[in-house]
Order: sequence, then structure tokens, then C-alpha cells
Amino acid sequence: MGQDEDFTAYVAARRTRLVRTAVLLGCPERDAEDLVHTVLLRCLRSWRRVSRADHRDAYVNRMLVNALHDARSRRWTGEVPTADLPDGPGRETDLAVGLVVRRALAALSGEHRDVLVLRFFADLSERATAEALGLPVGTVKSRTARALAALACDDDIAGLTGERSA
Amino acid sequence: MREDQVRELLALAGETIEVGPGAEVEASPRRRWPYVAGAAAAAVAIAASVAVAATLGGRDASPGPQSGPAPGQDQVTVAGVYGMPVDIARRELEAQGFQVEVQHEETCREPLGRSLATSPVGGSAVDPGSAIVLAVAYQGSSEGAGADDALQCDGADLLLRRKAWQVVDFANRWVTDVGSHPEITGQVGYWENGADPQGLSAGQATDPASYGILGERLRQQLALPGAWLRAAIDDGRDFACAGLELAPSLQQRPSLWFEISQPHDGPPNECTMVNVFVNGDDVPNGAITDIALRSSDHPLLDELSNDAQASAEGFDVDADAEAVALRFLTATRPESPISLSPYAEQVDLYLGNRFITTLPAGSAHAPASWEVCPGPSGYAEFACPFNAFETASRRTRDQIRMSEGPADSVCLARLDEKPQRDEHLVVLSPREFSMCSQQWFIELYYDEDQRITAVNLLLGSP
Repeated sequence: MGQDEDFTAYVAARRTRLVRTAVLLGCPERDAEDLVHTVLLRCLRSWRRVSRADHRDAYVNRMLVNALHDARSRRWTGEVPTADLPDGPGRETDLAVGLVVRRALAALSGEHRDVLVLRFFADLSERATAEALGLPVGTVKSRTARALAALACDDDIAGLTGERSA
Repeated sequence: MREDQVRELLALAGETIEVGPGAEVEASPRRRWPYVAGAAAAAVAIAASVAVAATLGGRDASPGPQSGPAPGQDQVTVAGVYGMPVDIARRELEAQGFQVEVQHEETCREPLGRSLATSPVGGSAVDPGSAIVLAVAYQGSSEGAGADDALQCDGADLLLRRKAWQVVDFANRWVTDVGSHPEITGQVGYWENGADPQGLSAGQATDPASYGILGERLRQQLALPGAWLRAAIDDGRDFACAGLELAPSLQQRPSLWFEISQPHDGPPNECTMVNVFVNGDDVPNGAITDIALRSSDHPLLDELSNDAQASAEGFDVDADAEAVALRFLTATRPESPISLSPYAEQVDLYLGNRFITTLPAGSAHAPASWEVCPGPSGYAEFACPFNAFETASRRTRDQIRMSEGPADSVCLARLDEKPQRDEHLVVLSPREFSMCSQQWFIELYYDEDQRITAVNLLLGSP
């Protein structure tokens, strides 16, 4: 497979996941597709380097995290992504659950949110997460444990996990 | 909370995010040449592209004579010594077997006694025992110069740089007489790449070995071709670096930050930054209380470990920017067969960020019309007139670096504010790193139709 085909296949397989990862990491939803587009363009220009990486997804997610942080430092300082929660009885739907989770994620610190999203949504291993965030693996482990604890302290999340494991 | 529960919840969260089909990310970047329409014009463009490659000595062409010798078994790679105190730099180069001649360069860019560059430049492969010129910063304030001869430098700026270099010296155990060590009188918190902080006792805090990779990383980054240090007071707004923000307890606190940067093709993706916090509000003075290092691995570090010379993988700038730059370079060649103009109807000329004149419509193709003098500003008076046209024409494509500016280099310190323009920007500069006196940058501003609307010529040592 040539480089162009390889890149095209990667985009087809990963773009949706990358956009959602960007939003869960804190990118405003309206900007996420543009952000991912920018990241993919950068990937394309450096595709030889990207495709040579040991953990290609870690490399791309690192670019995503960098782009997100850079954009945030320029434009999004202080903006916390939230979604309007549906009122009333809609909470039993998966959609409502998802929105509750997004609100809880937005309330976490950036460090905790990054590690949870990359580990458990982007499905990166601890090592790949460490590469994506530029951290030692040990830090990823300890930060993940603290992030899980912080998320569990959210009342809505505690209620959800209680319901879902009951 | 179990990991499988988190996975399930995050998957549901992800499902709430609608993702459209998205704009196509083209596997082969398309170059928009709006005035080349139709198959016939496309054929012209293809022929022109071939001609461009021939004219500019294409990307895959063999290096020209200015590219330096290929590294061989019998050659030695000149160490990068930028920023080192002169004694340390001289020792490093002499340990490589070179004959070192120190030359003082009057400049305000670096504090007295700091190494600016070498000739041949760091990274070059040269014969063993070669003569190396080591340029060292000098403000004319010592070594017999009278007070009248001293440069009038911005003391506040040099103070920041001096403080930053003190930290570099300390971390690398570069003990010299050109700068004292930073003030460390008590406990220090050390923060490295987002890991949990280390609390260093007063005894540990004065031992450079306590600071993880700080010294090694700074030394590596400084040794890269074209590296330079930027220093400033961070008012607490914080900048993300290497994908990392400062720890919450450090945010909103003023600090001295310094960054090691390198020229790059395309947009910068790498970052190495140190924040130095002191007790009290008098930054950068005061005793150090916290040091935070954030640093990504620069790809050149790997490449240099395998190859003595930085490899050029090609231009990583936007395809439109590359097209504009190539058409400009082509237009500067008198033998150019291309008739497609790269210019807008009028082109504004700047010199050292200062507006000089507007080229009248249709005159941009005449090399003589590009000759400008700075007027009473004093910028580069001794080399007047300048001609960006000729400057670019002397280089082959392989010898040109392109980046998505604005131009930034230690050689460009203390210029006027950048031109306030809304257009796109691509910057041309020599690929080979050299002393400031041989550096130049051509900023090309271009509009949506990829027509050059303004050209800003910057010289490293005006």
C-alpha cells in the first residue's frame, strides 16, 4: 500500500474517533472537526514520520492533544465545554447518559480528563498514552488511578455506575 | 470505579457527538493555481513545474557545493556550542581536535561571553584538526574598549537572558566566570514534563543532578542546528508546551520563562520551555522556588544521532505556501521560462519590518525596482541597497528553508513590530545555518489567489 492509500485508509478508520476524542478532551464541539482536519493535514505532511512511529495512534493523538492545548491557550482559555442536559425523564436514555458523562468529564482537571479519554475512549495503552501526553508511564498509571477516583466522586456518575452495575 | 465501566460510559459520551462527513483531506495536496484553468493550462503548468525543478535544482538534486561535505569516516562533526560560555565552548571544540579562533562580535543579542555560533557551523562535517572560528558576544564594555565604544543595549532584555543562561549553566555544570549561578537558597520544587513534582531539600536543590533531564535536554536542544533561546517574563497566562500546561499550583504565577527554538520547515510541533519561579514578585530576581521543564523530543535529535547532518525531508509547509514560494523563487531567475506572475497588482516592500515603498503595478518583474534603502532608520545602512530579488536568486531550491512564519530567530532581536497584515505568510531563509551576519529572511505575504502582496526582507546582522 502506498503512502497516499495508507493515509486515506487511516483517515477513514480514525477520523470519527478523533473528532469525538477532541470533544471529550475539551474542544468545543463546533471546532472539533476543524481541529482534527488541521491535525490530519499535519499528519499528511509528515506521513512518513507518522507512519514510522511505533504507536501511530499515540503519535496522532499527541498531535491532537498539542493542537488542542495550543488552540486553547490562544482562544479557549476559560471555556469549559458543556452540553445542555435534557430536562426531565430523558436521563434513562443512552444519549442522556452520554451527556452526563461529558459534563462530568468537563468538570475534571485537564490532566485527569486527558488521561481518561486517551486510555478509555481512544483505547491507547498506558505506554501509548504516556507517549501521547509526553509523560512517564508511571505518571500515567498514578494519574489514571486518581482520575478514576475523581470521576467516581461525581454524584451523577456514582449514580450511573450504581444503576448499571445493579 | 472499574475500567470497563469507564469505557462503557465514555463510549456513550462519544455517541452524543455527531460527526459529519468532513472536508476531504486530500492524500495529494492540491495546489490551487486559480488562473491556470483547463487542460491546456494544466499542461503548461506541468511543463512549468518541470522547468521550476530544473531552474531551482529540484528537491532530489545533488547537494550543491555550498551544502558542505558529506560526513565520512575521516571527518568530524562540529559540535553545536550556541549559548555556551566561551571557555566551555572552546574546550568542547578543542576536545574534538579543532584549532579554535575566538572572534568577538559586537551585539546586544546575547550577554557578554556567550557563544553565538561557529564557522563552519555546528553540525558540519569537516576534516580533523580544521580551524574553527568561534563567535562570542561582546558589548564593547570591557577588554580595553572605552565607554564611548560600548553598545547601548536594552539592559532589561539582557538581564532576562543572563538569568536564563544562569539556569542553563547551572543545570549543565558549566562553571565559568561569565555568569554567576542562579540564586538557590532553600527548598525548590522541580516539575518535569507533567510528572508529579519533586520537593528538593536545600542541599539537593543546589546539586544539578537533582534536576532530572533538565541539563541534558537543554544541552541537546541548544546543540541543534540553528537553535536559539528566547526569554521573557510570563505574566501567569501560561502557554501550553509539548502538550502540557503548567501544574495548577504554578498557574497564574509570574515566572521567567525561556524556550529553546529551532528553525523548522512548516509549522512548529516541538517545544522545550523552562519556567523559573522565584520568591516574591520581583521576577527574575529573587531566590528560585520552583523550576518547571516541559519538553517534547525534537525529531532532529533522532536524526542527528544517526546522521551527522540534519536531513531535509522536504518542505512541510502548506501546499499553497510552497507554491507561492516556488513561483517567487522561479521569478527571481533571469533564465526563468515561467511567464505566470507570482505578484499581485501592487507589492509593498518592507525592510526590517518597516514599510519602505510600494512597487508600482507591473514593475515587480524588474530586479532594479526591488532595490531599497532603509532611510533614516539606521537599519542596515552600511549594506544599502538591498534587493530581496537578488538575495533569493543566489540560492537553489535545496538551499532554501520554507516555514509558515513569521520569521523568528535570535538574529532578529529588537526589530520593530511585524507588519500588520492579514494575508497568509510564507518565509524563506537559507537552509544552512550560519552566523547572524550571513542570515536573511524573506517574508512573502500572499492573498487568497496566491498573489504576493508584500515582501519583508529581514537581515540577521543589519
